[in-house]
Amino acid sequence: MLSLYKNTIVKRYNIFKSRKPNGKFAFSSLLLFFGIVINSEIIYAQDYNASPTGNTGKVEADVIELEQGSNTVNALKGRVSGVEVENGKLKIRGQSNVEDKLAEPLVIIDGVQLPSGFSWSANDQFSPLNLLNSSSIESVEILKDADATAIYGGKGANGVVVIKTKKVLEQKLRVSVSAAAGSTGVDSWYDFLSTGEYLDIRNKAFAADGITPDEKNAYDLLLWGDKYNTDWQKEFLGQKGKVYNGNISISGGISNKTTFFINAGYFESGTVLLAEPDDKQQRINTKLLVNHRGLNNKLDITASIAFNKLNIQSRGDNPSSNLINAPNQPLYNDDGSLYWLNSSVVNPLRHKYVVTQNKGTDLITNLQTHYSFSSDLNAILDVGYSRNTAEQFQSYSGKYLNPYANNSYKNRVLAGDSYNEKFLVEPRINYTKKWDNHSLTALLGASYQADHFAGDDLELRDFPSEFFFRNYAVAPVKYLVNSNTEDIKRASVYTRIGYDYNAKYIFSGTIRRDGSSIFDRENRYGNFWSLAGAWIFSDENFIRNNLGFLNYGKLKISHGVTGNDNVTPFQYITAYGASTYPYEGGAGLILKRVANPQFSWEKTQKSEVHLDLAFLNNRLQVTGAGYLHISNSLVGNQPTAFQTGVDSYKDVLQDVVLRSRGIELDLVSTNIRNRNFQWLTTLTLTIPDNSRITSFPGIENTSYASTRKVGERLSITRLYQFTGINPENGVSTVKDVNEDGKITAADDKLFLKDTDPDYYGGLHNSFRYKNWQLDAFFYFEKRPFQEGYLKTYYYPAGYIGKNVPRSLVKDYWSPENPGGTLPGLTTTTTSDIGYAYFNHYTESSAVYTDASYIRLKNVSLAYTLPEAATRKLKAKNIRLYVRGENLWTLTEFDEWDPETQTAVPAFRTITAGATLLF
Amino acid sequence: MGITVLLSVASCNDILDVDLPSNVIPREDVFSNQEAIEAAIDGLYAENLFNLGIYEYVIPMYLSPASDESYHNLPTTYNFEEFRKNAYSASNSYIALLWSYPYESALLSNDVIEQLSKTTVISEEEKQHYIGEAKYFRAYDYFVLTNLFGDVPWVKSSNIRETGLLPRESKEKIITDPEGIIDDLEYAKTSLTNSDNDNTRVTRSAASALLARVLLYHEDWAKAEAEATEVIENSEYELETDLDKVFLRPSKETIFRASSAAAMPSYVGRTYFAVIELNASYLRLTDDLVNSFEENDLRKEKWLKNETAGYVHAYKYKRNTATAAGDAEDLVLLRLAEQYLIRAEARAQQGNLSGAIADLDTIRNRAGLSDLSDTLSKEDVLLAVENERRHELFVEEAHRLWDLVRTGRAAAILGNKTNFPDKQWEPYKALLPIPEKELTLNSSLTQNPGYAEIK
Repeated sequence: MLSLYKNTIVKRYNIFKSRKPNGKFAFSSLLLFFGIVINSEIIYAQDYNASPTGNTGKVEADVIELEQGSNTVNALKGRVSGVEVENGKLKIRGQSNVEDKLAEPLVIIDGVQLPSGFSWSANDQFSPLNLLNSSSIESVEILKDADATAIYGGKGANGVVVIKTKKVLEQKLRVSVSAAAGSTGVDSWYDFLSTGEYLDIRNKAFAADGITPDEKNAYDLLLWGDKYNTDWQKEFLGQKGKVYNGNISISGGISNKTTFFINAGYFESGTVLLAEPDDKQQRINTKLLVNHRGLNNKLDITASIAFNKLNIQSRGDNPSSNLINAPNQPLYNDDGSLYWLNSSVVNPLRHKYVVTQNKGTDLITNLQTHYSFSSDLNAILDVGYSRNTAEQFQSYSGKYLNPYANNSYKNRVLAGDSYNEKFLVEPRINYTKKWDNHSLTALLGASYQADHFAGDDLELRDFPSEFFFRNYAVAPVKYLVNSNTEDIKRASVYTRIGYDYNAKYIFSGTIRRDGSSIFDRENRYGNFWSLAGAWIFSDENFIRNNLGFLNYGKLKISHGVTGNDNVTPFQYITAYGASTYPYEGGAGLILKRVANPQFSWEKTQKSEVHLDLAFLNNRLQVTGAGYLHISNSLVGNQPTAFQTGVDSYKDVLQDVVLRSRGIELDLVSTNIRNRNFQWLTTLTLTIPDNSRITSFPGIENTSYASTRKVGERLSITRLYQFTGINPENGVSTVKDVNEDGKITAADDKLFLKDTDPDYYGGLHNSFRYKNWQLDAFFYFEKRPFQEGYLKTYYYPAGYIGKNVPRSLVKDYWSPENPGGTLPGLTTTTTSDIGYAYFNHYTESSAVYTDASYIRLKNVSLAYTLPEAATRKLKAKNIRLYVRGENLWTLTEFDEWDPETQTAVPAFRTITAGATLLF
Repeated sequence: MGITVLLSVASCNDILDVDLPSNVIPREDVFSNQEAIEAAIDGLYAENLFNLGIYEYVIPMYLSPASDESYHNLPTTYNFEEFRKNAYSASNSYIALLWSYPYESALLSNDVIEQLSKTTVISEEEKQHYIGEAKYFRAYDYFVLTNLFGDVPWVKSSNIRETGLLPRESKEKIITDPEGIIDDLEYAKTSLTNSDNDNTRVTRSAASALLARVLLYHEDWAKAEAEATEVIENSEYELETDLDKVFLRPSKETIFRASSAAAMPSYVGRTYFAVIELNASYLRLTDDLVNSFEENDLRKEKWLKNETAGYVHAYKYKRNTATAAGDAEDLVLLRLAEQYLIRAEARAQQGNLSGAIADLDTIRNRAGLSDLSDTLSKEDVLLAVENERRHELFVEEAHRLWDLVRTGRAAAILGNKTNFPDKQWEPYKALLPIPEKELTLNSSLTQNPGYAEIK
């Protein structure tokens, strides 16, 4: 195995990992109880492709396991600097394109690429990452800089996530069993007005407006009364779901040359939103891996096949808008059917009749062949195939529909089927030469990947009854909403040369040529490169002699150009496509786009400076990195006068530059290390300044004019500047920038602010006393400007049918309270207060708030049975644990949850379990 | 190093060639296949009649309130109010749509015309037939554009990377030059047969009918009369005697309609005039129009609806969803009644007053009204035409607004401050301002007179 740097650096640096028997069973988390390993060398020492000079972050099994949710990605939040996790999506060091959708990193699992997500159908929550079993994951690495991502080429332009699943390759039979159970749900609630308080505010608002309530403008007052006092949050999200998790691994060998590893896991979690007993998600994970070593250990073959399955049944869709309904709104009629008043008042409980059933599967096969011609020369061939399927089904029962409304359909089903295939071949040759203090490695590699996607979306309407929902043929109205296939091929050749002198001066360089079928033949190929150098200055005598407290010090610098082909494919073809509607039954074809053959790879220059330090007998390790990414040759919408027939076409945007930069800090400290007691702290901190447009000539004429601005980040919003409540009439006021006496969006909505975090990170403390271990992980984020409650739920206090949190009726303006900080009460959009509220106030800086928070994301308490007791049970090791997620949050954010930023907060989950190793 | 060799190997293109996505059809494939060409023609109908709003709701919805016949009932946040007040601004987003929709439509036609002229897989006759349909749609696009904006860039190609900087061309040339509106419609007329369909496709008569309207607007009275006569004398069409049946699918009066057999969307446009609760409030009729109907005008009874809330809306179309065939309605794009009114006006202008009165009486009698006196002066007859068009064609397309503008009557009627205190009519309001974004993107464009130039 090529391990150029292993002997030198790893031993010296990795104080924790050295205790882990190398390549032994993954259940070494007892010994290795500190989650994060910062230094890339460890990873790369065992990786053929490794770069000793690249920047990566890595999270290992024991940390990932702490996250019991269904999405493994969440486990990375705050664990790796430079990685933003938002609602299950990853963003690595900002984004490099002016179009929003294109910043997803490459995900590689056991050498096979996963699609980043299914955005095909009605509900796009179906990230393939949801199918992974967090307890079968050995490690998740994030590759960030140009050097580390270089061998992935264009695919890795937005960073690379490398997931490795657990495996053991030993002849001796080992069995590991784990099981856990617990409960999950929402545990923090907004403080809404009760029915009495709500009616009181409504009456006051009518008085303030000088309007007489009647059955049309005050049905809540005159028709509904105070019979009900519903807390809609509890109605929607009040239930708890049960969580079960079980896993078994068996490993062993037929001989010492042929070994196998089998893993099977089951996970189940009840859903919370309007849940019925059958609503839950279930996941099954299986994996078989066989390894054979032969020909005097020159040949090493690993074949693996993994199959994962996920079923989700849930109800309703985003409940946000329903949680603010009047507390006295009747729910049911006497006969148990839903209560409806008229065509415009919605009964929120109708969401009970929207049922979503999603089924996903995930097949990942991989064959890795490694042959050593000599100790200097190895050849590797990886062949992988993955196939993901998603079957999505969403039914809207007729009971969902308002019987008074003019419904264009009844009993409706939205259904989508899609699959994604990826086939990958990657041959590589490695050559190593060492002489005296010199070491040279050369890697020559190629890769070929073919992706295929196919999917259909159907809409089926007017089933005679719900009974037939699965029987599509029965539906009298059927639409094929969407149907497509897509093929993309990519091919690359690359070489990487590494050289080091005395393991002290390290250099590596990569050159590659990437081709992508996304571009026209003439523009299909791009050449990219990266260069990196590292200097282990702690090995210099002058440092050793003068700075004795420094155990390790390394400075790394990398620079490179990566290409991104993640643009809308096939723009080089003048294409016709189906018209939006058919005409006289026949599908029409219309001109969809006029070809633009010109564009090619987007380019990002990535530079990084990286410093690793270790002090106090390696008990304090600090890694700092600064990065600068400059993206140009960006593809976007080129505006044109509409007389052409279009307002823009895709083109390379001349001289548009996007910049991301930031500072990342990772720290590992062994505070106490005794025989009986150990305390370890890890800290990550990211201070980003990402995705800032530094140049965009003529932006005012583009479709980006209203959403982007030169010098600002991509996430900016345009707002009015709030200038307070008029003490005379309670009307909210905003700044009239051009002082023309009128408030108009074009002239006055000029207050710009981005919603990016100032910094974020995680703090993990781990304590071990004899057989006990306590872990606590806090995530923190400073995000000073985020749309808050008033933006999302934009009704003023006193408005018909809309409840408000108690905090919004504490200091509203009234003639008696002229200094009130909130607009006066109103029942209508047409009063002065109401007009300003809807048109200016909710579009102003007033409704943005500080969404910073600190959250105790994970706590785990574990106990390892004493050896004597374990032996009695014929086990090697037995461990019991209790885990909690999202137990505590500190925030001033005025909306439901600063993390999810929706009405569904991060669930609080508590589980207890045991792991046994035989 | 060997890398150079490998890099050049990878340059062999073939390994990266892939099948196209199934929803992308290269243009050259479309025009080398007979069925695909037919589908491309269907696409013109679907896109023009359903998806782009210009045949559907956009024109009446935006422009009817600019005349004296209707107003919107919408929150003021929608800048529709500018239409009702004739206070057009170059930044109005609906004016931008009135500019962009016809150009979007013209791009589709231009490409089909260009590609068809090169294709060899269909007969010359079929080719001309299809080109005729595409030209009809293009002629309508420029009819709308020149009416609204006067001189406009005249784009006859699908080369979007080059046509974006074309300057304005004179309205006169766009109407009369080769490949202009009249030329396109005459081409359509000669290449299309008379109705071999259920009036859901452009026919020779449809081209004639639109041409009659264009010629009337162009004040080419004799030719306008001739075209209208050709349509009127076609025995396939006759006026429905029952006003309730005029907009029903089997109506004999229909010359061209949007076929909404399977597609819902053509109903959407109609709902702006229909009865449903949600949309009835969009376009309400002015008292001025409602009170101007003669006492026993059946159109007042059949085509207007009084809501209890105290407003009146048009009730020409009565349904909001697709229904059984007998009751089915389609959006009517051209109907015979207009041809009688075109001919009446053209005849009056040429001094044939009795002929004009006869045509007017045909329409009046159908509405239960008595004959006009045959002693009217030319001026009176022209006023009678105006009046009859108002009561027959209200909230169809932008007939009323364009009638007032082209006859020079706008100042007297829309400028009447007593009737319409909110309106800010001035002679230059006959044209809309060029959308300001277009002026910025195409530096060779100039603003219409009267509207402040963009700095």
